[in-house]
Amino acid sequence: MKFLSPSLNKLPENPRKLLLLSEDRSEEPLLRKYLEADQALNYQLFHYSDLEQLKFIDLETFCHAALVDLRNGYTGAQAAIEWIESLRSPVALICLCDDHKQLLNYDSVAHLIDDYILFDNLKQEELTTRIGQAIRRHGKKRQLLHEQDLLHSLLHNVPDAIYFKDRQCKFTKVSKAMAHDYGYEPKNIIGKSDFDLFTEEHARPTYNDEQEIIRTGEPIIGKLEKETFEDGSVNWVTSTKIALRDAHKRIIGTMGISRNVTDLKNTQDKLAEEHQLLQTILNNLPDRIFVKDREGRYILSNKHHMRFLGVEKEKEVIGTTLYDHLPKEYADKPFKEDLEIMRRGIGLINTEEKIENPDGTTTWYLTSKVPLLDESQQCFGVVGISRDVSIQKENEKKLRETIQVLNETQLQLIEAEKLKTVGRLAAGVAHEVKNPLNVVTLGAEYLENKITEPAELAEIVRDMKQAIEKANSVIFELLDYSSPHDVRMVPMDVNELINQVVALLRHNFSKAGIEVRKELDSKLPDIQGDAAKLEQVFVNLFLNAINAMRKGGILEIRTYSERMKNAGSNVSSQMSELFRVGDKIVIIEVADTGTGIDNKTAEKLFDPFFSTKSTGEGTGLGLSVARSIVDMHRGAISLGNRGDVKGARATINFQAVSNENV
Amino acid sequence: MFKFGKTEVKTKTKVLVIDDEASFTRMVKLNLEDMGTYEVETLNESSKTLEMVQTFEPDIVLLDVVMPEFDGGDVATTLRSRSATKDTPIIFLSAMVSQAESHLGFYQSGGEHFLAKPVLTETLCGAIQTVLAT
Repeated sequence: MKFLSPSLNKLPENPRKLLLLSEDRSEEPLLRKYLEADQALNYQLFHYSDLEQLKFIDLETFCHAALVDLRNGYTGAQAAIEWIESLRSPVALICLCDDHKQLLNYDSVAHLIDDYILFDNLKQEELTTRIGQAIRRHGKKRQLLHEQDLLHSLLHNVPDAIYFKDRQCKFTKVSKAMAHDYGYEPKNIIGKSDFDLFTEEHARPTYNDEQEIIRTGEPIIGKLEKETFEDGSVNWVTSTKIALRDAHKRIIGTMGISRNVTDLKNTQDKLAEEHQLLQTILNNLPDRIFVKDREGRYILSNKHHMRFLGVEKEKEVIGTTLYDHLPKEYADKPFKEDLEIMRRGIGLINTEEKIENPDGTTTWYLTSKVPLLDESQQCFGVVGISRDVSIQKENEKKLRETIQVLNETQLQLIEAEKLKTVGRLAAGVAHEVKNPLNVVTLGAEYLENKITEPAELAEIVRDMKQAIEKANSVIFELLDYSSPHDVRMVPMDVNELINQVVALLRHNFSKAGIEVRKELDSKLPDIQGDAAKLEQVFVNLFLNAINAMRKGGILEIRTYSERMKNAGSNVSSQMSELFRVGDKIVIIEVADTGTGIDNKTAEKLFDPFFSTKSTGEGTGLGLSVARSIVDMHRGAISLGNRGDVKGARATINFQAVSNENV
Repeated sequence: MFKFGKTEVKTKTKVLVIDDEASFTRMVKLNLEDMGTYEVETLNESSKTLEMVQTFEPDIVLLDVVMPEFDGGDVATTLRSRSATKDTPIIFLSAMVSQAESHLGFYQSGGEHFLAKPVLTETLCGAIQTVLAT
């Protein structure tokens, strides 16, 4: 027993059961005697003669070894051996023979037998030792078989490519999946190399890798490799390759396992492509796009949003909040909005945001923000998109203004049409009224000369005369207002016209005690105009001035020219509509030292029939006529109080005939 | 033609007023004659102008522009076509004038003399004197 391994040297606690399969049981007494001689070995012997009986017991738990008697030509022996073997159980098979020849009769199952015992001259120690060794050997064999099974199972069932190669990198064993992948049965690949299966492009680097492993023993772990087949198709594999060593640690080849990750790789590539596409879209859209987490920290920001925040790199924004980029007064509102959106799970669609830029300009954004929900409808962030709508906003404003202007214009047109009708009617009436009026005028004059006494009568006649004069003046104004607006434009000198009109009204000026001061630019360019119409403008302006200076004063008339300046605060919208920057403009200023204009009347000055004169003194058409004539000339007229002294100043702007001759 | 001159101040200026409005011509006559230096004849039917000028022989004609039948233009053409009256000065009276023109009261246009209605006696006299002096 000394030569037994240490594990078997221990005394078994449980009995070691032995099954004796024999027809005649003639050997049983001896066997039992020998086996039970040494109590410490604790053998138990059971006898069965009928194989069929055995089939009802669980052999594995029933015994450790089966002793099959071959001596008397036991007919069931062969079947019993085959059956026990087929169980692949850890039951050792031992045959009892009289001599070696007997064993030859069972040649077909001899290889399944763990040991045989020659019954003649059998010694007790030999029996127990052989049985013990057979049990042990069988255990080892089982273990090896099991491992072989495992390897076989692995190579046959795992979808990965597993291979073993010799030092020349020729396959010595491959998994079924690998062989099938390359269109072979495993056995047909044995002895081939990568050069037989793949293109040189793929085989060469693989060969080099493997030779390197053989040389150094350094493994390659999880390397991504591209396999290009001769038909042009491509596979992606991750390979782990290690050196294969023999019992003496000598490298005898390599072994490796490769997993086909073509699908994974394709998916990865597709994902990368989609990611790239998404990035391109995000960064090329003109809108700002961002995603924030539950705490309002950025987890995504496109380039436009980064620019908005004033950062260049994504890492400068990821993980930050609005407060890291904007002053508190700007950050507060959107930040609170985000938290509210995430809390309530309801987004904000198309809200307008106004941002005052550092350079003083204003940008309008149309922003939509919606909560991000996970599969369980839990909000984990907010995604926002913000579009610069300043241009639309500006257009909208312009449109609104245009509509307003249109409405006003329409009203003005209606008003003008009404006035035209009224004017025509008035003109007709005026003509008809003039003759009788003249009769009354002359009659009153006559009476004035004849009646000096009594004083009351003379007074009455004088009143009548004055009343007629007023009526007369109203009729003239009406006639002028309704006179046809055909214009004949020719180049003309404004200075000359002003001189003519001043001469025309010289009596009126002197009667009112008004001094006329002219400061006319001798180099004033011509304008394109209708002298008769423009004469009307100046007559009206001068008459207004006279009216404003009942107790005398100074009328200043100034002409000069200048280039249209850049649009700025001192250029009215009307001016910038009529003239382009750089246009040569003729300017006429008429200033009086009268009562000036109060704020209330300023707005209505150019309205038809608006008059500051008391009823009967004027029709209120003067300035309205003046403006319509200036409009006809594509000029601008404005009225305001002069700054230096009390009084009003009218300013008229016309385009000079040619910009070159100035 | 009879010329107005300083040596004959006491001779009255003969004025013919042609206007379809009788009340108007009557008033002009009253006022001018009241000045004492004018002898005024009036005519309301412009078709009878020739007969009138033959008997009256005016120094000057005040002629309304707008009249039924023969208007001021027709009458002026007729007068200027006759040797006896071709040099007789004519002042047209018109209601069709602008305010600017009216402020002149008496003005020239296209070589013709005009007076804007309504007209004052003072303006009328001034115009007659001015025209006769040229």
